[in-house]
Amino acid sequence: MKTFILSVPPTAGNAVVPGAVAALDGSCTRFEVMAGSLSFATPLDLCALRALVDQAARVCDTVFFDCPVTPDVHNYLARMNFYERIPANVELSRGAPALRRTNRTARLIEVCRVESSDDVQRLEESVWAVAQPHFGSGPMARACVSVIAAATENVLDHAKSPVGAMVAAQSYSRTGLQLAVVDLGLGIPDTLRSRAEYRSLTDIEAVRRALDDGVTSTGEAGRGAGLAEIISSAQRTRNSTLVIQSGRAQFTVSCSRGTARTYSTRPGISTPGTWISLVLKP
Amino acid sequence: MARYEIGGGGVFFATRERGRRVREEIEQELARVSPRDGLAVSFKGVEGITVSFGDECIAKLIVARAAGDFDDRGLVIEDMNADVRETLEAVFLRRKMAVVALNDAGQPEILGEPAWMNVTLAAALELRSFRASDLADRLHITPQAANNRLKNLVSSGAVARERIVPSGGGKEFGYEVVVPAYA
Repeated sequence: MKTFILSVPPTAGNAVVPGAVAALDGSCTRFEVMAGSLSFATPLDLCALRALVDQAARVCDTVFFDCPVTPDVHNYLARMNFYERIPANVELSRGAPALRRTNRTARLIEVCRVESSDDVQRLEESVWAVAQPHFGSGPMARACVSVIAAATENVLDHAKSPVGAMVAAQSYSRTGLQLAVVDLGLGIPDTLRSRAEYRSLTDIEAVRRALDDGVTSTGEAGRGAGLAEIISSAQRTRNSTLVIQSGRAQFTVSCSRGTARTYSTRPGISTPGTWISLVLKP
Repeated sequence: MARYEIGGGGVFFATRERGRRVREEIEQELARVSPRDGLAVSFKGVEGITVSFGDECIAKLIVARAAGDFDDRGLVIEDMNADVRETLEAVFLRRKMAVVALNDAGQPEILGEPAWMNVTLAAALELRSFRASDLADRLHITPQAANNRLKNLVSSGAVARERIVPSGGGKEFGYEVVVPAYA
């Protein structure tokens, strides 16, 4: 029996997920996620960790999840539905706490899985409910919904993600609204390289090309808008940061007072699937 | 003119799957419309759509019109907010196609390409019921060019096309404006 043990850092828990997903190659039978020291989790952390747990449960016989020791963090994960519908072969170190739930639809979107067109529709309504209290009914709130809708559409159309798209959002009084979409599918570079004309592109070149309007892996008329739409929606916002990670490529679009700047970096570890996070500042 | 409201099922519309479902509903409504009448597709209450939804729902209707589906009746888009309008314009520019939309003042205008479509629409609105040769005279273009423009105008939804039998025999089409504000 081979066991893989993953130690999750107190913050930025998403950072260890790419390496762990790469280790899920069928060789280990038990997977342990040690998240006891987790002290803060963003929507991206929650989505990435939950996608990892679900993928590990598919590949390994048993999965152990060491829940955060700090009660507030454990409660927060429960409030964000992190422990909801956890696969049967996942053992939690502690039971999920019983919560007295209040309606927080204006402040958060609990971790949810998007696997169908109807899921996207429900999600759009949730994003609208979170965005409106922040930004009213104007272009900022609409851009928020457009980014998440286009991102999840892409997952349904292209990603072939074994865990669907994991989505979550949280509104913070000081830093603004954070939204995340994570899938563990094919990823942008491999999807685009399935067409002969793009076969020679590196990951970073492929993602850069995929961000152009009309560049598509299917070659069908009318396709190839998704990622360009995400960028243009983000650019409609006044003050936001959009990060797209896929394979060995990371693109950051930073918008401030109507001016957008794009940066690209080549991360050391390949991001499985496509991860998109959007922060809209107040 | 009959009216179909897209917004009956929500305020945001995304995914090709949903676009296909809404398109099929619009096609059913179009099938009930009489020849030389038209259907107004309203986005009232809709806050936003994605490019995928717009392409699958509206652009594919126009593609089907260009192939002859329901080209004897009109189709017009109305009640769009700025975001929906911008997204649909992007959809049609990408496909190099056009659709007729009513602006805030209720005036018909072209969304999409090609650029000469607005001039052609304006001429058609003045003529109202006409043949290709009438449009050619009005725009000082050849009958062949008028026919080409009319193909685009029919698929855009602004005019309905109906086959007529000229007194001398042969094949000819009559065109009639079916945009609601002018019909």
